[in-house]
Amino acid sequence: MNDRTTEARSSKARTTEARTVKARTTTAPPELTVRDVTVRFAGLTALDGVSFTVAPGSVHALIGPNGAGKSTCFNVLSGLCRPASGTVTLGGTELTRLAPHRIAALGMARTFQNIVTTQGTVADNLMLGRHALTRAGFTASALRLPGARREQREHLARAREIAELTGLGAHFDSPVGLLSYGDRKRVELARALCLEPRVLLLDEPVAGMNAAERARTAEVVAELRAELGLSVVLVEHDMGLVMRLADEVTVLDFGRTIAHGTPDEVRRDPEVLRAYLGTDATGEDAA
Amino acid sequence: MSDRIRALLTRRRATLLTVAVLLCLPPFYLDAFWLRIGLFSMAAAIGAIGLALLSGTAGQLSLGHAFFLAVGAYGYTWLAGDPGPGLPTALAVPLAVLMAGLAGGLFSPVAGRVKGIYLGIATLALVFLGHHVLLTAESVTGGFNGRSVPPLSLGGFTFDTGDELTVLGVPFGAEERLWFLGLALFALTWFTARGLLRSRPGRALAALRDSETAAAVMGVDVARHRSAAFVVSSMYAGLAGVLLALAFRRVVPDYFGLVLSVDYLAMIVIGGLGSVAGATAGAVFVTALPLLMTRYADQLPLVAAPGSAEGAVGPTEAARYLYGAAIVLVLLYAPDGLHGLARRARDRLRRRRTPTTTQDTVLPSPPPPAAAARPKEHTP
Repeated sequence: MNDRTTEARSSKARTTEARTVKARTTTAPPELTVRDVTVRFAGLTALDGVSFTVAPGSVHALIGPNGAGKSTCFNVLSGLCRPASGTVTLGGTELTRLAPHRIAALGMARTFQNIVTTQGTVADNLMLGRHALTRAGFTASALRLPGARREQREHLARAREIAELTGLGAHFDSPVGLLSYGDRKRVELARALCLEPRVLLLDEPVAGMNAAERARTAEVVAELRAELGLSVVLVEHDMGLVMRLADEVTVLDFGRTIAHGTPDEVRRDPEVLRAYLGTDATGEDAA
Repeated sequence: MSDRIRALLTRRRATLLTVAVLLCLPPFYLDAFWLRIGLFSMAAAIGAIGLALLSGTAGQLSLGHAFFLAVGAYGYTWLAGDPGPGLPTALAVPLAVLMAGLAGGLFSPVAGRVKGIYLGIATLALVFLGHHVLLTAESVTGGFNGRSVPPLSLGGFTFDTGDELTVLGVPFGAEERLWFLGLALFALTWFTARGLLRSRPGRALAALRDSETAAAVMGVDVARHRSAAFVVSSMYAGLAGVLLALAFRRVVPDYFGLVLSVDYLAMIVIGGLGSVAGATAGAVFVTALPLLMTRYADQLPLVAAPGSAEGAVGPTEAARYLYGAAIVLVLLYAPDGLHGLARRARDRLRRRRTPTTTQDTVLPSPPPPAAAARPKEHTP
C-alpha cells in the first residue's frame, strides 16, 4: 500500500516535472572519456592505465573485487583524487586539473559508498545539491533580499519533486539522522539528482539494502535514465542489478582493466570468471 | 478582512511583537546598572552570533575573536575621533565594521586553507599581535591607557548624557539611549544571521563542517566559503566591538586579550553550537554572571566583597568558577547547550498540550504606557 502511494506521488511528480526541470537535462549528456589513468598511493598502484568511455545516455558499470580501484576511479572522476598520469574528459573539458566544485558545476554528481550526509533535514541535504545551480550569496541571504528568497522557494519546490521521485516525499522535513539506512542511501541519491546532473556516479547504491529497497532503487535508476537521459556510471557488487541495468561493463582487478563489453560478453569472459567469481564458478551465479 | 488580520497576526508574529515590546521596557523601569548589563550582553550576543556562524556552523575554531572586536572598537574610536580622520560618528560605525571585515579578509589566505583546530592555533597569533599593536601604536590607539570613545550621534541625536531628555517621565541618560541602539543592532544581527543560516550559504557552511568531501562534490567552493565565513564572523565581531566601545566609553588594550576570545567560545558552547538563539543565551549568561556576582557579592555565601582580604574568593573569580562549572555541566548533560535544552523542553510541552491546542492566537494586549512619570530608583 505504501509502495502504491509513493508510486502515485512519483508519477504526479513526473507530470509536473516538465515545467520546472532546468534546461540542462534536455540536451544529450556529453561523452565521458577516461584515458590511461594511473593513480599511485605511496608505492601502491591503485589504478594502472585504466581507460573506458561512457557513451552519452548509457549506464556503464564498473565492477571488480574489493580493492580493484573502483572507488579510486570515482574519486578521480569527481576531482577528489589527482591521477599521476592520464586524462579524463567530459565533452571536451579536461577534468583532472579541476577542483571538485568545478566538476560538480559541469553536471557531474556522485554518491558515496559509505553514506555522507550532513546534519539537518532531508530538505537541507537536497538543497545542498542545488548549490551549484543557485546564486544567492552571503549578502543577499543575510538581508533576505526578494531574489534570494524567490530562488530558495523555487528550488525547494524542485527538491521536493526529486524527493518524491526517489520515494522520500514523506520524509522531506525529517532529520536525516532519524532515517533508516536505506532511506539515507536514497537521500544521497536524491541529493546527487538535485544537481540536475548530466553524468551520475553511483558508488554501490544498493549496498546493505534489502530486496525491496534494492528493487525500488533499481527502478529509480532505470526511470532516471529513461526520462532525464543522463549517463550513469555504476559501481556495484550486486551482479543481478548490474546485469539488468548496465549497457556496458568494465571489469577492474588490481587497478587494471581486465575485461570490457556488454554484460553478456563480460559474464562469459573467462578472465572475469577467474578474477571476480572465483576459478570454479560458472556463469549462472552472475545471473 | 478578518482573514487578513489573522494572517498578519500569526503566532510567530505575535511572539515577535511581544518580545520586541518587552525588550523596549527596561529603560523605563531599570536603573543604569541593569541597563549596562543588558548593553554588554547585547554586544556580547552580537559577537557570539558571529562566532557561532564560524565555529558552530562552519566548524572552524577561532581564538582570534577578541582581535576583531578590538578592530571594531578601536576602528570606530579612531575613525570618529581625534587623532584620526574625525569622520561623522554615524559613518564611522559601518566603516569600523567594514574594517573588521577587511582584517578578516586579509587573514583569508590562512582562514581558507586551514581547518578546525589548526585555525584556532593560527588565530591565536592574531590576539597577541593585536594586543602588541594596541600597546605600541600610541598615536592611533592611545597606548596602555587607551582612548576615550566619541559618543555616537545620529542625525542630531547623541547617545550620551549631554542634553536633557525625558521620555514618559523617565530621564534618558546614556544607558537608556544606548539600550535602544543596542537593541537595533542586535535585531539586525539576529535577522541577518538567521537569514544566512537558513539559506544557501548557511547550508554550504554546515556541509563544510559535516563533510568537506560531500560539500566539494556538491559544488561548494571549500576555500572560498571558509574565508567568507571568517570575514562574516569578523564583521559581527567588529559590530560588537563598536557597541562595546560605546557602552564602555573608553577602550583599553587589556580588555581585548585572549581571555575575551575564550569567553566568546564559552558563550557559544554554553548556548549550543551553531544556533543564533543559543549564542544569545550563552552571551547573556557569560556576560551578566560576573557583573551580577560583583554587585551582590556581599549577599552571597563564600564570596568575599571586592578588594577584601587575600585568599578569599572574589566575585569575579567566583563567577569564573561558576561558568567553568556551567561549561562542564553543559558538555556532560546537554551537549547541544541551552538551545538544545530549551528545544527539548518545548517539544515536551507541545506533546503534552497537543490534545487541547487551539490554533487561535490572541495578540497580547499592549502593555500599559510605561507607568507615567515613575521616578526610577538609582544605584550608584
